Amino acid sequence: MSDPNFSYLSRALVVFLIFVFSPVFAQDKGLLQVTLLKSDTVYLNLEALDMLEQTHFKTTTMWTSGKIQVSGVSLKTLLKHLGARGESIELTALDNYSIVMPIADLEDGAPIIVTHMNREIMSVRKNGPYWLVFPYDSDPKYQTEVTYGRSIWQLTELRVVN
Amino acid sequence: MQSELKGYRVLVLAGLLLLGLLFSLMVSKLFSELKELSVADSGNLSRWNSYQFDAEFANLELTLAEHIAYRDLPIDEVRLRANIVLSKIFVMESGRIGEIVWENKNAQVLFEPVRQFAMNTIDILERSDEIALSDLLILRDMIQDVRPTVHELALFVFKLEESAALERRDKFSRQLRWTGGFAIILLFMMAGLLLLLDIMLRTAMQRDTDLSAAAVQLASTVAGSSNAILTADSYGKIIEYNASAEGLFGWTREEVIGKTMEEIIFPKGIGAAYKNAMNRSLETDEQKADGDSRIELSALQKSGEEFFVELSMTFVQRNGRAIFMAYIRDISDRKLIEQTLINARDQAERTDKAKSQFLTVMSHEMRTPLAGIIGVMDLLKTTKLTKKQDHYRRIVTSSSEVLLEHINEALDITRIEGGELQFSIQSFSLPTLATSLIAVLEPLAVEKKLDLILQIDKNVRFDFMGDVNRIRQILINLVGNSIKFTDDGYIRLEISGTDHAGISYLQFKVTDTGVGIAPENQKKIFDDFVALSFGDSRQKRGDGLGLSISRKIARLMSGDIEVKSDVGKGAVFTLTIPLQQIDEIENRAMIHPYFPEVRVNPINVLIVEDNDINMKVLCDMLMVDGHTVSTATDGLEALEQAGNQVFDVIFMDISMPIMGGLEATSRLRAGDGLNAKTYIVGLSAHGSEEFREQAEEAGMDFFHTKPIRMNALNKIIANIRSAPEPATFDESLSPVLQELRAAIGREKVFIVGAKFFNELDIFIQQSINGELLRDYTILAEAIHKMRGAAALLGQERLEKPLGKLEKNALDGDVTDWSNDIQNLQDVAQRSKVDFHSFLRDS
Repeated sequence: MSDPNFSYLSRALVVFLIFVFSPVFAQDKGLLQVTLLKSDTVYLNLEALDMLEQTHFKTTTMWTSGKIQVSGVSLKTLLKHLGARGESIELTALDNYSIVMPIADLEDGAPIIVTHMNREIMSVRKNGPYWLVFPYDSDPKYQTEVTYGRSIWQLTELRVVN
Repeated sequence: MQSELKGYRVLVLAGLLLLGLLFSLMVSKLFSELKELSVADSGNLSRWNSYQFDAEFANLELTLAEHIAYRDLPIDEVRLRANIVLSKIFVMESGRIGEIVWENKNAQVLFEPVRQFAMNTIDILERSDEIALSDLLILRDMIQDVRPTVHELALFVFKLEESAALERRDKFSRQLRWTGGFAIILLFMMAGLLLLLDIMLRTAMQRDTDLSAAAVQLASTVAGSSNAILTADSYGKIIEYNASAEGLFGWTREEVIGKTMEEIIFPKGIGAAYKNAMNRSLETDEQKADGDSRIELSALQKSGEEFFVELSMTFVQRNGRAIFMAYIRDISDRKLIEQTLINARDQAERTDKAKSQFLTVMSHEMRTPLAGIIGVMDLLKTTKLTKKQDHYRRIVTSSSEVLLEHINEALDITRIEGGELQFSIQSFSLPTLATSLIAVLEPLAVEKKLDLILQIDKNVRFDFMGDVNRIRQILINLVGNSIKFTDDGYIRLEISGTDHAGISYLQFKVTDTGVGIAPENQKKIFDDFVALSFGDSRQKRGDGLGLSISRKIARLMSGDIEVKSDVGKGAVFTLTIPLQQIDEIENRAMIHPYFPEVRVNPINVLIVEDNDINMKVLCDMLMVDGHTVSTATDGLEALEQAGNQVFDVIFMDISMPIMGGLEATSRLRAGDGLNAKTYIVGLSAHGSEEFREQAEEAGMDFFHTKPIRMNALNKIIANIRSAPEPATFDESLSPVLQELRAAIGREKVFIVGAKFFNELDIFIQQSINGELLRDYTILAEAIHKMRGAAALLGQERLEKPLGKLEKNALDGDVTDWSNDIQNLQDVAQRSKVDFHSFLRDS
C-alpha cells in the first residue's frame, strides 16, 4: 500500500463509485458508507475494500462456534487510505446498533473490517456484509467486554467525528 | 552481628518482594476483570441483543405489513429485514449465547419454534427472487405466531445473561475485597517494616555517631600519642603514620605512605625480628593486644642513625582486611641507662671477683711462707733452746697461728660471699665431736683457770649427717670467744635437740660468765670486721671475722646463731642447726682430729712438693723422728720415684708445676706399680674444702691444709702404722716371704726381689735368643743360682721349671728347651705379679 500510484488509482476508483451507485441501494448492495469530517461521503463496495491491503487471521469469537478464518482491511488502514482526520469514529450497523471508538485505539492489524469469513463473503443473514473483528485469541486485551461491544457486524456506515 | 543483620535484610526484602508480587498479581487480575466488566457496555450489548432480537421481528412484521398494503414497494427491503431477523436467530444459536441457550432446557423449548420459523422463512426466501403475496402473508402469519415466543425467549436469554454478568460482578467484588484486604495487610506490614527500618536506622545512626566519636577519639589518640603509631596493611605497606612517628623517624607522612616498614624503618637483617612480631600478632587472638609481644630492636632514622625502639604489634581486621598496628617507642635513653647499669654491674662483679681472687691468692701466698715459719718454729722446739729463746719461739708460734687463723677466716668470707662454700656431708657422732672439742679447748680454759663444762642431752647421743668440720669450726669459735672474754667463772656447752621427722634441731648453747655484750652491740658483733672496744685496749669482744663467718655458715646450714647478753653478766650464744639423724651408728673410720700421741717406728716417706722451704721443713720434721725421706718436686718426678721403691706414705702437694698432685695420685692408683696402694696425704695451701672431694676422687687417703704441724704429722704417721694389714696373699708364698720381710724389712725384700726378677727376665730373654746354649755347664750353674734365689724369696712355683731346666742343661738335652723356657716365662710372670702385690698389700 506504500505505492503512491496504487493509492491514486484506488482513490480514483472510489470517486468513480460514488457517482455510479446511488446511496439508496447502498445497504443491500454491500456498500459501506464512509463520512469524513468535512462531510465528504464515500461509498465503498466489496471490490474496493478488497483492493486495499488485506489482513487475515484465525480466531474464535464469542458469537461463532469453533475457529474462523477472517480477512479484510484493517480499519486503521482504511481511514489512513481515505485520509480521515478526527478524534473518534462512529460505526453503525443495519440493525441500527452503533458504537463510538477513539481513532487512537486503532491498531495496524486490529480491528479489521472483515469482508471474507472462511474465504467466503458474508451475507446479511450471516452477519455480513462487513464485520468489525478483533484478533481475540492473540491477546487478552481483546477479550474484554469493550472489545466485544465494539465488534459490530452488519456494518453499513462509518462516520468520523470529533 | 553483621551477618545477622544481613540475614534480616534478605528476609525482609524477600517478604516485600513476595508481597509485592502477590499484590501486583491481584491488581493486574483486578484490572483485567475490571476491563472484562466494563459494565455499561456489556450490559448494553446483551440488552441490545435481546431487545434487538425482539425488535427485528417487529421490524420484519412492519415491513411485511407495508409490503402487503403497498405491493409496489421494492421487495429487497423485505429480504433485508428477513435476513437481519435470521442473523439474529443464528447468533442466538451460536457462540456464547448459543451455549447459554443450549445449556438451558427452558431456553431450548422456547427456541424450538423460533428455529422452525427461521427454517420456514429461509424456505420462502430461497424459493424465488420474487416473493409472492401469498408468501408475504404466510410470513406475516408465521411472525405473528412466533412473536410471543420470541419475546419470551429474548427476555429469558436477557435474564440468563444478566445473572451471568452478576456472577462475574460478584467474583470481581470478591477479588476486590481480597485484594483490598491484602492491600491493608500489606500496608500494615509496610508500616511495621518502616517502623523497624526506623528503629534500625536510629540504631545505626547511634552506632555511627558512636563509631565516628570513637574514630575521632582514636584518631586524636593516635595523633596525640607520644608513641609513634604506624598502621600497615597485610603487605607491610604503611597506610597511616602519626605525628610522633614523624618526629621519631624524621620521615614525613607523605614520604612513607605506601612504603613498607622494612624499607623505611627497620634496617636489613632486623626485618626478620619485625616479621616475627607481625606473625606473633597474627597468632595471638585478633584485636587482643598482647603485653608480651613487645620486642626491642634497632630502627633507622631518616638520617641513617640507628636507635633502639620497643615495638609492639597488634593485628586487627578492618572490613575483612588485615591491618597491623605498630606502636613504636624510642627506648634509646632506657637502653643507655640499661647499658650503664649493666656496665656498672659488670664492673662491680669484676671488682668483686678480683677482690675474691686477690683474697684467695693472697691467702694462699701468705699461707705458704707462714707454713714455713710455723714449721721452723715446730722444728726449733725440737732443738735445745734457752728458756728465753723458747719463750720467743712460743710468741712467734702463737702469732703465726693467729695470723693463719685470720687468713683462713678471710678465705672463708670470700668463699661464703662467692657462694663457693661447700659442705662435705658425712656421718659423725655428736658425743665424739663434743668431747674432742672440749679436749682441744680445755688447755685454753685451764690456762685462764676457767671451768669448761660439757652437757649433752641423752636424746642427741646419736650419729648425724652433717659437715662436722664446719660445726666444729663454729663451736670452736663460740667457745674460744667465751674463753677469751671470760676472766673468771665458767664456760658451759650444752647440747640438746628436738626431733621432728628424722631431723634433729640441735641446739648448742655456749654460756659464759664474762664481760657480756651491751644490747646495742649485740647485732654488730655479727658484722664483718667488727671488734668492740671497751675503752681500755685490754680486750675486745668480736674479734674480726669469726662470729660473722660462724653465723653465715650456720645460716647456710639452715641454722642460726643468736646471742643473749648483758654487760657484766656474761653471754649466751646459741647455735641451732637442723641435722639428719642416722639410726644405725656406723663404724666408719672417721678422720679424727685428735689422735693420741704415739711414738712411731721409722718409715719410708716420699715428699712431693715444689716449694723448697716447705719441702725442707717437712723433711726435717720427718727426719727428726728418724724416718727415711725421699723428695720429688713435681708429680712426674714422684711417679719416677714411686717406680723405684715402695713408700709407706707419700705427702703430695696439690698444686705443682708439670704435674699436679691429683693427677699423680690418679696415675699411681690406676697403675699396677709398687705404690699403687700406698697411703697418700694431700697437702694444699688452699682451704681444705676446694680440694677435699677432688682429693678423695683422685684416691688420696687423707687431706691436710698447709701448714702441717708436727703434731698432726705424727698423728698421721701413727694412723698409718696402726692400720690393720690386709692378709691377702698366696698361702704357698707367704710363710717364707713373710719371714724374710720380718727379718730384713720390706724395702730390702723389694730390692732383692726386684734384682732377682730382673735377672730372671734377662735369663729368659737370652734363652729365647739362643745365646746361652754354648756351654751347658755354665748354663746349669746360672740356673742353679737362680733356683737358690727363688727359694730364698719363697718363689716355690719357680722351683719346678728351673729344676727341669738345670737337669736338662747338665744332661746336655736341649730338645725341649724352648718349650721349657716358655713355661718358665709364664710362671715367672705370675710370680712377679704375686710378689709385688704381696709387698704392696703388706
